[in-house]
Amino acid sequence: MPIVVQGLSFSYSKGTPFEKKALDNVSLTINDGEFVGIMGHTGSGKSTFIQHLNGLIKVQEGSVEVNGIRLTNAKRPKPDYKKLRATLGMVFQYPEYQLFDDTVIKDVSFGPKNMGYKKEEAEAMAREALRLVGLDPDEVGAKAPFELSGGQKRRVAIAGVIVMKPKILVLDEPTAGLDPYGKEQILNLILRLKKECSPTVIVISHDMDEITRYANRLIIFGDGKVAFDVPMTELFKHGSELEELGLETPSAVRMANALKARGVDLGEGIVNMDTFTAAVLEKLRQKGEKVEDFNGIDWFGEKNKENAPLSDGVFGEGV
Amino acid sequence: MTAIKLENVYYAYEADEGEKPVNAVDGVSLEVEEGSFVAVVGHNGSGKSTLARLFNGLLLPDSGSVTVFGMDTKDEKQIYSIRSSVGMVFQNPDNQMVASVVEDDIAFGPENLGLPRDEIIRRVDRALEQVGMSEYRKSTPFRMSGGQKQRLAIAGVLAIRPKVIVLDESTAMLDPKGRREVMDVIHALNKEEKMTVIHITHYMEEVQEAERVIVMDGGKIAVDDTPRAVFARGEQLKKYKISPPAVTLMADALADCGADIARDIATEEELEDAICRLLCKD
Repeated sequence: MPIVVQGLSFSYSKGTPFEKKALDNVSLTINDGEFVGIMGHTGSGKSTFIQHLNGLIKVQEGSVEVNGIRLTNAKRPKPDYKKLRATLGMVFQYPEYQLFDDTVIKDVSFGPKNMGYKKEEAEAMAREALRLVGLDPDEVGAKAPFELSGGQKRRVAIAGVIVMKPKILVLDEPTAGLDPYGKEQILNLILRLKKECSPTVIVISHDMDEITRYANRLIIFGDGKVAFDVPMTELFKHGSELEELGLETPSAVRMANALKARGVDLGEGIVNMDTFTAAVLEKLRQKGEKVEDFNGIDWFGEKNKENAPLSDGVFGEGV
Repeated sequence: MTAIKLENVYYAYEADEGEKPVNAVDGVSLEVEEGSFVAVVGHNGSGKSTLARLFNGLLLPDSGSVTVFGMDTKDEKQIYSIRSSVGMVFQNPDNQMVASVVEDDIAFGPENLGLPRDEIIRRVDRALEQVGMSEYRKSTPFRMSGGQKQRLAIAGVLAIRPKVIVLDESTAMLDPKGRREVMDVIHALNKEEKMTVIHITHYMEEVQEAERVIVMDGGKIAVDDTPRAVFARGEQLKKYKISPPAVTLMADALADCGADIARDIATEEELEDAICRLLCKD
């Protein structure tokens, strides 16, 4: 079941002199199985938008529907927030700051216990969630969260969200503050979670080069509106709009455009380093040059590990 | 002149009971020339933040010595001049604000130095000018963007008139626009005012703009070279969990597949030229 948002508008401090419109008549649908990237500069409305999706912000105008659960400004019928939040898991920025319990296993099982599961059931769910994020429950379960490295903490925090097996996973800047290797690991973890646990993924990001590699649809917010919403493969058509919105064009798109101006047309659909590299190699091949097959850039060799069971050693230090 | 000199420096954080302390900085010797722009990179836990804190005596070496313009950081009598010579800007802009009005915040440092009022005003004016935020002097920092807050944090450091500014992942929490703002400010300080800049970062695009890169790994200096030379090291960088910038990765991938493209390409223009050389001919 998809997410359907219709005519959603929202103002902060409504009815006061500080009233500020954050969302202005936003309508969009996100279908099952999509990997959506959301971008927009600070204050564009993207965070306000995602906070509507699990009812953290009450709808003022318009409607939000998530897997059949409808949110409007009507007082009744009261939406089933418990069910909503088990369906749509939300990972906030720097989620490791939200760890609070004295052991990892207690922290991760907090959600299911609140949902009414017995302690043993909740802990079994927590152990599975920890395994899914690449941690060994036997090793870290009894530890205090603060004993872990930053990257481990972030994974524990993500485990605390996916423990309910949400069908939709929303992450707000999941790689912020991580080193390049930590970033690569978290992004591959998200791909893995998409495959094994949460088929629909929505990621807010500021990193154009990163989001173009993973998402297959890009929604850009500007001034509280959806400025544009395109399949990733059509992003290259929107370079000038991106710049108007204060966002950088992906370097691959910039270079493809520059080369086109110099008479080398790499064709359509270039959005990231992989599509750019593949297009250049294809051109060389057409010219009769001998080039080898290209399987995508995977600097740290993390992508191939995607399907392998994650032992604790796979994830190094993160934050 | 040498701004900062480290000689065989070791530092370990206190370990838990029964555990052996691990050296966070493990035998580092290093000289930073006055007026240079040095980037420090390395995965988390590689020792780069510890290194930064040794530069101005926030941490003191277990053994070896750190000297700042000839002053030893272990010399308690010199610590005030050392701290005024080496200013630090940290990661989270919200943690570095002390006042609710911009000018008060910038004045905090010089006030603590006990400077006369006129001098404080002059320094606040100048510092705000240097980071391009003069029009905000009466505003409150709390409603500002991350980039603006970080520029204020830099202004607060500049008001002390340091000769060296150390930025410890100061761009990590900013969006691309905020990052650009901060980078522009520190480049201007380096070029126009000959300030020594030590910039710790995970963003390889920022590293490329430095004159010199120090790669930390396991508390040691793994590589110390120009950005171009560092990023051309390919496989070796993987060991340090560093990845080159996107253009270098693309050049590398093209070369791997047999295209005649140099692996040390550092800018988009260079890669475009290299591709054009192969494809533009006819």
